[in-house]
Amino acid sequence: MSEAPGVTRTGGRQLPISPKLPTVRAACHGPVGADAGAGAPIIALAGAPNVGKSTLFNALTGLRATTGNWPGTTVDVGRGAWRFKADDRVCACVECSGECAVNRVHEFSLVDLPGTYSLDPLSRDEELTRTLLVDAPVAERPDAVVVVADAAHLARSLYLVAQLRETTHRVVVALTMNDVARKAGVEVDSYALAESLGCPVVVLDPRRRQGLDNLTRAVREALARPTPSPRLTGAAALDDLSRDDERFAWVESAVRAGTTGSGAERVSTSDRVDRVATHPVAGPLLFLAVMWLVFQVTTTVAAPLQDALDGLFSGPVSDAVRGGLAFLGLGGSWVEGLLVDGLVAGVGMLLTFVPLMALMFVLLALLEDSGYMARAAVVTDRLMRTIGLPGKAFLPLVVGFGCNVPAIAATRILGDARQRVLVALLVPFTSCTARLTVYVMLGTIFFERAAGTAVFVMYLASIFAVVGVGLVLRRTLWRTMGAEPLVIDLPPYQAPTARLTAAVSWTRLQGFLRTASGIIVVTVCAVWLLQAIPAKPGYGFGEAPVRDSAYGVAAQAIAPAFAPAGFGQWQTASALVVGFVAKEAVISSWAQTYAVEEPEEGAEDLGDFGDQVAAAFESSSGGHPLPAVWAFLWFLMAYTPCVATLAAQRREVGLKWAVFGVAIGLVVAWLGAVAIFQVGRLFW
Amino acid sequence: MSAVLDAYRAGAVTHAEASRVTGLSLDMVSAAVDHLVRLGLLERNVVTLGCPSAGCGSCALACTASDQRRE
Repeated sequence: MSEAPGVTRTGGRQLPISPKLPTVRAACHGPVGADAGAGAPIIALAGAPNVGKSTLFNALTGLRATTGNWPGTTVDVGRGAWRFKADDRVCACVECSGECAVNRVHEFSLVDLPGTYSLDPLSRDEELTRTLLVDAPVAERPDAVVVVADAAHLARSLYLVAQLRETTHRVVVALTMNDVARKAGVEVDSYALAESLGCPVVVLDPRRRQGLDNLTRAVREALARPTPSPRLTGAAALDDLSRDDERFAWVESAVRAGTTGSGAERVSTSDRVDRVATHPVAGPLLFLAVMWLVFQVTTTVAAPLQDALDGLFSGPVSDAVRGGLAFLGLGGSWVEGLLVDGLVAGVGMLLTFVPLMALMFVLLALLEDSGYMARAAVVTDRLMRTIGLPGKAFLPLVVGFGCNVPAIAATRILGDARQRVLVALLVPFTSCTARLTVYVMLGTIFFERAAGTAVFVMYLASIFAVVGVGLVLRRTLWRTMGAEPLVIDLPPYQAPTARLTAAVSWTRLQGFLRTASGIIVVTVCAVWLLQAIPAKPGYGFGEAPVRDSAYGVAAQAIAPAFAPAGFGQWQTASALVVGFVAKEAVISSWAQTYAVEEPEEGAEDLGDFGDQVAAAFESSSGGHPLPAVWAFLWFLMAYTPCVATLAAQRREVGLKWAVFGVAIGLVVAWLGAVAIFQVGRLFW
Repeated sequence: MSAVLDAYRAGAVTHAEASRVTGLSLDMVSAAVDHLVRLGLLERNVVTLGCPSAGCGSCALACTASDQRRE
């Protein structure tokens, strides 16, 4: 080992070691008699956590062990007497007093070192292990080291052996978990492995106390031999990474030599499914099929419930509120306007989406709990990488498909400030669940049974927007950006649990209901107030038609900007403006506007909300409602998601970039919408 | 180990992908990844669709399956 005395390498960090090094010989704790007598060889038990080291320690020491803090440290270390007979022969003495050579009991002092994967410490526990094995003077080191290795994860266990073999320690490998390895299709040839490692390998099962005698014999034989020569690595001439490479190459060579079986049996069901689910071609196709199915099932199953709720709010609930107000003498007053045309129409319309959202959350929770969503993320990640973003950047983007606000906060995981800004600008293009309600509403009105497919297309459009805008920004403002490798832990597939699925779905539904009962109620009241304030002379408060209210006049001023995109009607434009607050507010304000608006003179009273929306698109698009609807949906997907996202952007990347983000969103939304409508009208 | 690191730098994100690229066994890749993570050369992440910060309280994802699973 080439480290300077007194310091240890910790992947760039240096852990100080006390000038007075603890050693296995100086340490003494526990009651008298618990440890072996003075002069007994000291054997250290080392190995990674969870490989059966403590079980082996208990099996070897029985009740003669103690556990306590190592002197001068707060690290728990076990120490005890490992007693054994000196000979395997059966005693033939006629009246043996137990003192003959066969029956004489010998002992080792066994020290159970803290679990560690390597001798490069990252914790105080690991630091003590290194100190006792490496940094202590040679005369103060243990006489032999038994490394407990997991046969089922041999490569992981042998790195420590590789490091110890670079020292003069007598090493014996105790191989545990052999039954697990066999079940996984791997058979370990202990002789071949021993030859490859250059030290004895003993197969044992400490839980069943099998192989302990063989271990005793191997340790005694090792002690009888002179200290081994260190493995030649040329380590002194190598840098850290090259030295680690050399060790892993040595470990791989030992594993290849010491294990039999193709290893194909080790492939679990999860691995087999993953071959398809994360395949570069089949993976994305499967992901698209799954998501299409989710949206199709959601919209199809929830549609009747949604219609029933719509009828409930526009019929009995509205009538009951009107009746109550009439009973109180408030019929026809501004209070009725606020409650019936405002809250019941606006919030009620949003609440009709509760069954749909609940079903969607259940399906997504099932996919997440089953482990599939992590695979979907891997598939999506490949697409995101085409932007040239570092691997970690896609994590906040995935969160954005749920809600943009925490996604913006999640950009903190990116170390580079420039990366954070870029990803924070891309997050608003990920289609959050709030936008889903509008997709579904328009999908149901215009595409009926294909509503699920329409929603699905919008999610594809969202991914397209992220990649497209990301590419443009990377080739203009962010030409250079570092790449950080990323490892994703894929959980094994499992059957979703009803309790977890229900809990997660309910929690998310509560979030939706909180939004509907909080910010949307406030927005509905604000919209109602603006619709009640007359902008033209001759009307009192609450008397003017909506088109002549402050709300209507402002909306009519903005509406022409959307005419090239086919949705230049003021009712539609105003809903988009209100949508800056939250996307759910698009629906509530739309419903509110149509609830109070009276048909123009001579025009047919369309009655139903859906019919009114359809008529508005028909009229504003000049007879091309479908391209206009797609253009509207694109605009809705691409422009600022909500004020909460804006606030999050300001907090995370500053006001300047937040404003820049709004500008990008509006430009992309408007240009895309105009292009979709102008091209689409040629065909539809 | 460098081969595993290179595989991740080249775009692999899972052990299976890195195993395919390097030709090493999954166990070997797993051991190398553990070591690379210890050295700070790789970062291990768990994917979640949910809110990583327990949420702002105003969105529908204030709590997540992953958060609850961890609890």
